[in-house]
Amino acid sequence: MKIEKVAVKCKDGRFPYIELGRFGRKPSLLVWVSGRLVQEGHIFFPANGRVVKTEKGSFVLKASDDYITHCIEIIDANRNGLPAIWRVDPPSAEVHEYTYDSSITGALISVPAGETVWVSWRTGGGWREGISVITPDGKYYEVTGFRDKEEVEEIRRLVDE
Amino acid sequence: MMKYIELDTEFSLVKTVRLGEIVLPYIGVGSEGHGAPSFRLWVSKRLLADGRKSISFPLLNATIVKTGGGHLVLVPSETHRVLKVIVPTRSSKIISVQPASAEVYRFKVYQSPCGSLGVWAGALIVAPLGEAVRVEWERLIKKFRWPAIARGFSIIYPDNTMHEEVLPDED
Repeated sequence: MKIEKVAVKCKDGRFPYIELGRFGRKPSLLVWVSGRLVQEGHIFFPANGRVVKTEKGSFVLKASDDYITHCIEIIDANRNGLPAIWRVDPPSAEVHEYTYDSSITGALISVPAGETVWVSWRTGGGWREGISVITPDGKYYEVTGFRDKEEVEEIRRLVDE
Repeated sequence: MMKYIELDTEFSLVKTVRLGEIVLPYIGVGSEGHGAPSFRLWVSKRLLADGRKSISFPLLNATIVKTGGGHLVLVPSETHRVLKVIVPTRSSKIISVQPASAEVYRFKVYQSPCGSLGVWAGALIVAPLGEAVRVEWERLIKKFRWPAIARGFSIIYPDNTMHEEVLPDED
């Protein structure tokens, strides 16, 4: 599932941040955001920016024209354990995962602008596996039954030839 | 005359999976829990020339290729044909198919959402063109005591006519 927007909170009225996921009472991932990316109190995805890690280990979503950050979530309604995102293409993608207790895995994925993102995932216990594709313009496609990009390319070659 | 197996000739509507720029046409084969297909059969775009939106079996000049990931793709071939057979009773089975070179891809057809009203056996059979196919099956059959499980075979000739026989009980 593609996340379209996340509400922004503010610390001391100066430092905007977003909370993603939940681990007990705490957010699973806290990301400070550049004020330039805040619109109407929200961050809209895909966002023109990149998530970087500071020296002290905090995450900051910095505005950048060279990178795009997508936000997706994989949901497992069957309580089999957390879904796993086990591969992201292109390999240069920077992935920051978060979870909601024990049934949703999400990720902020930063890639160079103009690149299509392929995310391979499987739900807890391997009951369901699939692939999600996010195009540079933010369109999101999700299909079950595929392991990775190569499987799709192999079928495409046979179907098209 | 009673037919023990059915040669499925219904049209299967071609659906598509879209992943960005990639569009993959497929048909769902079989019908399992709550209507989910047993497997997707990806269809070559050459078989959908002239804007065809459906596939019907028996399909001459076609074969099924299995990819490394276990997916099945229906592609054109000059040497093979593809048949779809169903044994239309509950507790039915397709035991074997001859010639040995024929490839068999089995599927199930549930008669209710969870199969409580019966599960029919079916198979896609890829056979060389011009060769008869012998399908050995097991199904419920009307006998003096009903229902009784019987074994038999059907021979499907290249012109899709069939010769069927029930084998005598072993006991």
